[in-house]
Amino acid sequence: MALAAPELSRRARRVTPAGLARFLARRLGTGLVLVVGITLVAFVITHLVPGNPAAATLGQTAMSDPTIVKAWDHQYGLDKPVVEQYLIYLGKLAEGNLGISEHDNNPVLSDLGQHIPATLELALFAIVVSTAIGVSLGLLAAVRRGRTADGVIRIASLAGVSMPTFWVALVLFIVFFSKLGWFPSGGRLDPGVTPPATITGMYTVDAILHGQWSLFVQALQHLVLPGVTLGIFTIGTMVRFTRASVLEVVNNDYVRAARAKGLPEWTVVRRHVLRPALLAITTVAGLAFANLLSGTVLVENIYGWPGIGEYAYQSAINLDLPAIMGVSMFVALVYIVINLLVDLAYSLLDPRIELR
Amino acid sequence: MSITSTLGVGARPAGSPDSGSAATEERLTRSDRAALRPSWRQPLALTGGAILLGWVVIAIFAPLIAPHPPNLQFAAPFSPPSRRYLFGTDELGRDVLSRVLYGARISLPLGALLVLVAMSIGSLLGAAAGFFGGVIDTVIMRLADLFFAFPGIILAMAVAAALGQSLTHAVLAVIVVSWPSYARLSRGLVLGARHSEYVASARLFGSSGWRTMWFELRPNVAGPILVLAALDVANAILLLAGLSFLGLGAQPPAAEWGAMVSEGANNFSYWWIGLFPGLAISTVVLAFNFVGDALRDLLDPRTARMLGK
Amino acid sequence: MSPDLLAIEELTVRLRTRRGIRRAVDGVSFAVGSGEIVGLAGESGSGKTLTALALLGLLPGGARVSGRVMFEGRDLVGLDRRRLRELRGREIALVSQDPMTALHPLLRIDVQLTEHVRAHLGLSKAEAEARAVELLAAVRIPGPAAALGAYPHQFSGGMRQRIAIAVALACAPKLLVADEPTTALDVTVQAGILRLLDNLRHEHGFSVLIITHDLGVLSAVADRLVVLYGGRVVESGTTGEVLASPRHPYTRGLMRALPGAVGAGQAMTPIAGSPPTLDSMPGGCHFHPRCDWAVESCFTVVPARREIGGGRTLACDVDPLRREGPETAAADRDGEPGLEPELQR
Repeated sequence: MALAAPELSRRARRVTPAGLARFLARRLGTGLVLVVGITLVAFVITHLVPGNPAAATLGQTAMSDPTIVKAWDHQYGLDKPVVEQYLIYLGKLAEGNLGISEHDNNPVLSDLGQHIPATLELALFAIVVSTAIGVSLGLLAAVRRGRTADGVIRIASLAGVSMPTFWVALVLFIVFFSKLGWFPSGGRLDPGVTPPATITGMYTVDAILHGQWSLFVQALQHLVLPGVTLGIFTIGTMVRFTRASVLEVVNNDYVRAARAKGLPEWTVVRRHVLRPALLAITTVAGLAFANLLSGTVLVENIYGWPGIGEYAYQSAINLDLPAIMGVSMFVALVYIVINLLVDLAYSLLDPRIELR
Repeated sequence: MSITSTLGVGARPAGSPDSGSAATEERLTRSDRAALRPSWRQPLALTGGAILLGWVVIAIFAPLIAPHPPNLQFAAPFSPPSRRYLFGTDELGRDVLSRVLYGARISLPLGALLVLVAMSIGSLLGAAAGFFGGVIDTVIMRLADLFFAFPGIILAMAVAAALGQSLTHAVLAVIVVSWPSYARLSRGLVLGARHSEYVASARLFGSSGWRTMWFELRPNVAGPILVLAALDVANAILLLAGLSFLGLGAQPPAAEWGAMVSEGANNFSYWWIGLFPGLAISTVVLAFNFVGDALRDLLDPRTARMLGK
Repeated sequence: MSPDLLAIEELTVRLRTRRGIRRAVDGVSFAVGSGEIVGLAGESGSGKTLTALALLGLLPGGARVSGRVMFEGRDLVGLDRRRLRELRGREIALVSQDPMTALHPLLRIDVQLTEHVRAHLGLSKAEAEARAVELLAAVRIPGPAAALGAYPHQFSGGMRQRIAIAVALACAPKLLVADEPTTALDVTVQAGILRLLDNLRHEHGFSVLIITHDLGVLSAVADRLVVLYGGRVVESGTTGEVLASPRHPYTRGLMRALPGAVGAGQAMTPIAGSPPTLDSMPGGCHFHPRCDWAVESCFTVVPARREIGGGRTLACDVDPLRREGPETAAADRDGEPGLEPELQR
């Protein structure tokens, strides 16, 4: 019988600096293509339609005066051919210039810088809460598969993804602000309160860094309602995925083998079941986080949360082209970065996977 | 209008196809699961179907069922729910119950219609990409990727805002957002089926490309696509309602659920204005999710995973 | 022979299927002596894997066990979970079917080889690792120290099965349960694994219960054979005798189905039909629908298992070699229920 030497060649280090660099470079390349593509889609959509940005910004009276319209179009380069406009935009983009927002006259880049931390804070809160709850419930459902708990969790998670977030936001708002008065109505802080000096832009984090505890508590209170609203939708997805991936793992031979070794049940679940299931969960959590970062529009709208979603909404209704493009690019970047992080996490968690 | 036929597909109770005989010991866990499944799944599908049927009936017979016309401003504004006005009245003194019932006439047909259109466009493009390959494949799928990478709500918002604020434009916006997932799925399915023998033999007998695609591939691709559609109606209705909530869809005084929730948000002291239309959306979406979920289990696991998004 | 290490007596496992409760293992009895290799043979659905899981206490939640599983004088049926767990891996170890899936893909070999050793024997990490190296050497893994830091996917199938055996042997168990240990392997690798098992049991003195559908595998290493069909023992005896003169039609069928059959010269012919499922278990002798010798009584009367000399047992009233009449056998079998009434058409 052939006693082939085991191939242990790849054992040394799976993630070498050179390999990592190559991986990042390749991803950066495809990411760049995607960003340019996104700008193209945004550009085409906002140009090939009869809507008129000038009309949206200037209003009825100014529109009736052709000289004003002409000056406005000229100011934003809208009198040039569309292709030229796009190339000009790309050229500026390469210099890191995202243009000037047409509805608040600030550079889009600084607008994004203002709004992103608010959304990031909200999304982080929601993803942490929903992952913790969602993974536990999903695990419980998988362990009690087919029993009452499983059925209840299943229905609840379907309900979670079926309720419109803007409605959940409204209901929570009515109950916990309007009726019970437990949480503030909206915004990131009470009116008139000075936010902590900016370090990360996330008020809770900045408050901690500055040791301003009462401010931290207040910022956290403002986070709860919008955060939970976003979380409810995400919990549903997390539960379903956790349950499915745990069940997929549980039926594997290696789990039976672990039990046959006489390991305590908790060790079997933690080490042999949860770890592979975490692979799938990582992916979902990553995607869910990306969705949270871009899907906060409705919740931010209700809670007056000055994040990227609200900015996107304002840009959309004002047909503010540079701003829409800026938001789109931010969102595209979010997906690129998060996919990259998920892949990196995968290669750390699963020895069989090599970075490519 | 094809609402009823589309809903018919979704509402058909998901009967279990397996005969339940293959319970050998080696497959104990699987047979276990199969044995346990109906206890939760089938009732879910049936419940979903029943809810949908109820809503379809309401949509068709709204003028007969609703106590008042949806836009009639006849009662005292902000009357709380009472025996006279079960769901209360809104800021203009309209009956919320009547408006919720009439709302089914907007969300259900539009949801079904836009999914039908998105499905047709998406799956045809995807099938073409998978079948012909090469440049066609690259162009179509790169385009799909781009639309896919765009977050739904932001793309829809941009489209709806660019086209101008109206319900029709919101529907168009949701179609623009939805088609890529069908394209991806049908491309995957066609790629899987293309190399199978029956397609090869059909082509050997001189069947043309499109002909082969239509007659030989369609039956294999249709099932999963319809399941995706059933699941997608839920998302489409949510997205459409969301756009209306933002004021980018249905315009006043239309009795559209999303717009009604928005009205409720503006008058949050009067909880009934926003609560009931939101409940209506939730039940419809939940019903579609129940049915879609049960249908997904009928597909083979690999295809189901493609649907998992 | 030394007293039996394991004595299974009238083991019955009931499972709930969609159509009611079924006996997947139906009154199985056999013994494994110290240092002995016993083969449990049968097609899928014969109850062999459930028998193995029953003695490890690893049956799925819905299964009900009755009968006795005497291991070193203790009855494992009804032993509390904690005791059973302490026994598993330490006294009775399992080698699973497919080495590709039996080792955890995300855990390094050292973890998989030491976690139970440390839990059962209370060794330190260093001690357990030293032991792991010895074990890997014992199962002939080249460069055992280096192998500890590797992951399963870095080894070939045969190597993985060796590692799986090392994992099973880590706590020096008295009984090794090998569930289709070679099915997933190439024929040449199979022979190596079987020889290894045989050598190891001589070196370490443990007993082995090999579960397989492949009589060829058993003929190479097993001392005794127990043939299962439809949850019942149909024939048992020493490997040499059973294979030389198989008495049950099913055993004969299995042998004819072997490539390059043990019963020399004959062409390879599979048994007609397919094994019954729990919900389609025929009445009488479970094998009668596929049996060439079946007579009328086989349709209704469950054949008793009886001694036929030379330490062999047989559960067939027709017995193709002797052609005995079914009356004698039916007499000492007073209508044991055996099957749910609705199936006895």
